[in-house]
Amino acid sequence: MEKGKTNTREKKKITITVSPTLIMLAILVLCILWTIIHMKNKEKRELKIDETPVVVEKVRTLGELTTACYYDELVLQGSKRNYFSTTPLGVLARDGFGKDVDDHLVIVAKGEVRAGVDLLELSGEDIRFVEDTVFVKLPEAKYLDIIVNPSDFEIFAESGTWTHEQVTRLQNTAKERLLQGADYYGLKMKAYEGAMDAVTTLLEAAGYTYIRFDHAPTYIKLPAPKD
Amino acid sequence: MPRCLRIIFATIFSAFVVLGCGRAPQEDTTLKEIEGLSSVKELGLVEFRIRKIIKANDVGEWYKIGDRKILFSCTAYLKAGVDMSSFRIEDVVYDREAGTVSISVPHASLLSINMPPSEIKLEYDQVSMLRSSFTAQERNLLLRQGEKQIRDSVPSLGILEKAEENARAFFVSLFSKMGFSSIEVIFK
Repeated sequence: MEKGKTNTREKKKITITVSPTLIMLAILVLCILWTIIHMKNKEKRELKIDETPVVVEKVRTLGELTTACYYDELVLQGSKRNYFSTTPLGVLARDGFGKDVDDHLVIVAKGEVRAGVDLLELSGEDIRFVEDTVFVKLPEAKYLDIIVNPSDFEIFAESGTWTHEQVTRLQNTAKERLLQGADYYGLKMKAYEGAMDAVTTLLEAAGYTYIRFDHAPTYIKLPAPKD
Repeated sequence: MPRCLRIIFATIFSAFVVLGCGRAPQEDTTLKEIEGLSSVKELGLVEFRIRKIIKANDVGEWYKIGDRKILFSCTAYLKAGVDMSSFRIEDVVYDREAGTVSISVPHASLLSINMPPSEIKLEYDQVSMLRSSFTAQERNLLLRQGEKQIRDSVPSLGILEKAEENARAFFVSLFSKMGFSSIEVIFK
């Protein structure tokens, strides 16, 4: 009898000791499971925008012959003082330990400059047909588009708080740098040459044998006339 | 060494080998493709200037208290036209005596979408006290979604139809200057 009572007490003791351990384990397992599910669904939970209509404000007729493109990938870097850097602790960190406490923003931007000629600038006198010869005075080549869209920007590093206006200012520098690159590589010249080539193909297709380009920009070397 | 330990070591080693092979660094070719000049022959015939509101309401997860709202207004420029890079002399068939000409050009396509950062305005931004404000990265992700919605809306805008209409007018005007009286424009 006495032995049987002792066994029951021991069983109770085991139950009492094991239960909190099991509960702790169960909580731990749940936490791990939750973390895994949380990580897996991270992409799915990406902040989504609402569906809104696209409103057409203006329709413009064009006659733009785009003949050359320049692509580049740029790194845009911005830094600014934050509140902490102005506090005594921030000043100490900067001067005493050489620790940089400024806010930084690094953006990688892919951009495109498109150049060509605007054929709507051609007046009646700019194309003259004389028998099997055409005299063409093409307008000067120009940059028609400088494209850097949100999908072309990648925020590579960001520390501190950056307002939309501050980010936009930094993004706008991409446009200037793209234009500098396009100038450097002579994009307008390449565009003009491409335009001459395209117009020649079109006019030759219409049966003209001789195509003469008048008043080409000085940087253009005109093709030798055909005999 | 006991057999079971050897098996465990062998399994772990194999797993490392397999995982290591799967994660071998690959050459990033994107940089090579991006920089530089390229030739195109695109005839842009119409531009649509559009406006769009990009808005999001972030109620957050169950463990986050409060919400965040953001609203942008933006302007984008869509250009459509015909890609003349595949155009050949054989695409024009003419008869000078009869004054007829037929030109085959590709169907109109969207040539570019331009959503300049300077024309994206942050109109409203509200963040609850216990939530962190929108980061530059989050704002950019929202704008990317807006850009995608604009791209997806292109077929319903009628820009391609308008571009083909303008292409027809453009070639008719050009060939009539050359003295042709009957001009046919075919989209292939």
